[in-house]
Amino acid sequence: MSVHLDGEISPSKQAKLSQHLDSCPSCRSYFENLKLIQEKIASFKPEETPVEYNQKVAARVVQRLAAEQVMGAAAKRQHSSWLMQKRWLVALPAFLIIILATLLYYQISKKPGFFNESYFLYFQDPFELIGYKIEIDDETLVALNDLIEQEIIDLTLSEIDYHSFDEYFYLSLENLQDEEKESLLREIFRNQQENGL
Amino acid sequence: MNEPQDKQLVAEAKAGNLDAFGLLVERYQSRLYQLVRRFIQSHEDADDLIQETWMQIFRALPSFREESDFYTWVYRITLNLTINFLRKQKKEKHKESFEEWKRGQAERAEDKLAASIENPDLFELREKIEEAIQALPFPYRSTLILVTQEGLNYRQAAEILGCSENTVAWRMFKARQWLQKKLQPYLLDRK
Repeated sequence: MSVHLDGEISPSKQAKLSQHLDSCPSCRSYFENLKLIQEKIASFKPEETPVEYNQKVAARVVQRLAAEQVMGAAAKRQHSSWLMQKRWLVALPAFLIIILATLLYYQISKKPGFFNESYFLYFQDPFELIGYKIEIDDETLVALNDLIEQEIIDLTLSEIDYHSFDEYFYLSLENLQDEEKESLLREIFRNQQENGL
Repeated sequence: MNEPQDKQLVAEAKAGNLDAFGLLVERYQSRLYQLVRRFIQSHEDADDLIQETWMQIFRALPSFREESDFYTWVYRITLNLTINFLRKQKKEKHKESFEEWKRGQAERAEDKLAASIENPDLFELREKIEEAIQALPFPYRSTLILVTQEGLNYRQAAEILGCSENTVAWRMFKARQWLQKKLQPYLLDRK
């Protein structure tokens, strides 16, 4: 229904959905509610700003850019003459900074261990937990799917689409035992029900 | 007298003409403000963000290849910066006190909803929907706004949000489920 409301449904699914809505009053009522909410949301429009306000913003932006240009030009002149005289003085700290930054980067990019309790406290919203915190490889995906099938009857992995969260990885399930994965899922779905999502 | 076209103003701004850029700001400020306010409730935050956005747009002008029109280009930059701003703001809040922030946000939204159930005279579906949207977790709220209010398709929203189209579809589904649940009392009243 959701995909249909966004106009992204395929024609074959659309036909099936319409057929079902014709024959099922409860789904039809649910769909009508969704549609009503959709229409209301789509009609929200913040007020236009007055012309005077737009002019003021433009003036401020231009003023800031002008100041930036003046300062930039002055700094460039000063900088280049100074740099020419003291090239070696700049090169040494720059080299040290690069080394330090590299070390720091490797330190930061180390992934934290999974069983850090603070993550559970920090991300109590289960969707944040799913969305931001879990890395899934194919093997784990299969294991998770099994767990979902055993534990959560009304969800499937394709609905959850774990693959799609690959922009946020911080944690990995790779080192988890099956029992640990299971308890994680239980935790996620318990929170999910409590939060009403 | 005809106003200069975007193309002409962009060419002049690229050459460093700040007055030409100022005219572009004046021309599109209102639309950008409306866009940003969909995401950011505070006028002050929106105002600051838009000014910063215009500064960045000017700096990025040399890289604007004019394959799309100026507003489309500006629109995308603004959306990206707004999403980044909200992500950053969200992280800051988490750092300060995740527990308190989360509890406070949920309670405020719940309280408002509960208060309006007790006072049916104050009933206003639109307002309730706005409150419920504000109470949605950030990824769901931003997706809902982009698709439903900004009219982007899943592909465009996914691109802006840096996720897959499936994620967009999933978030839309969950956001609607959430709204439906939160707004149930009002929807029943309407039948």
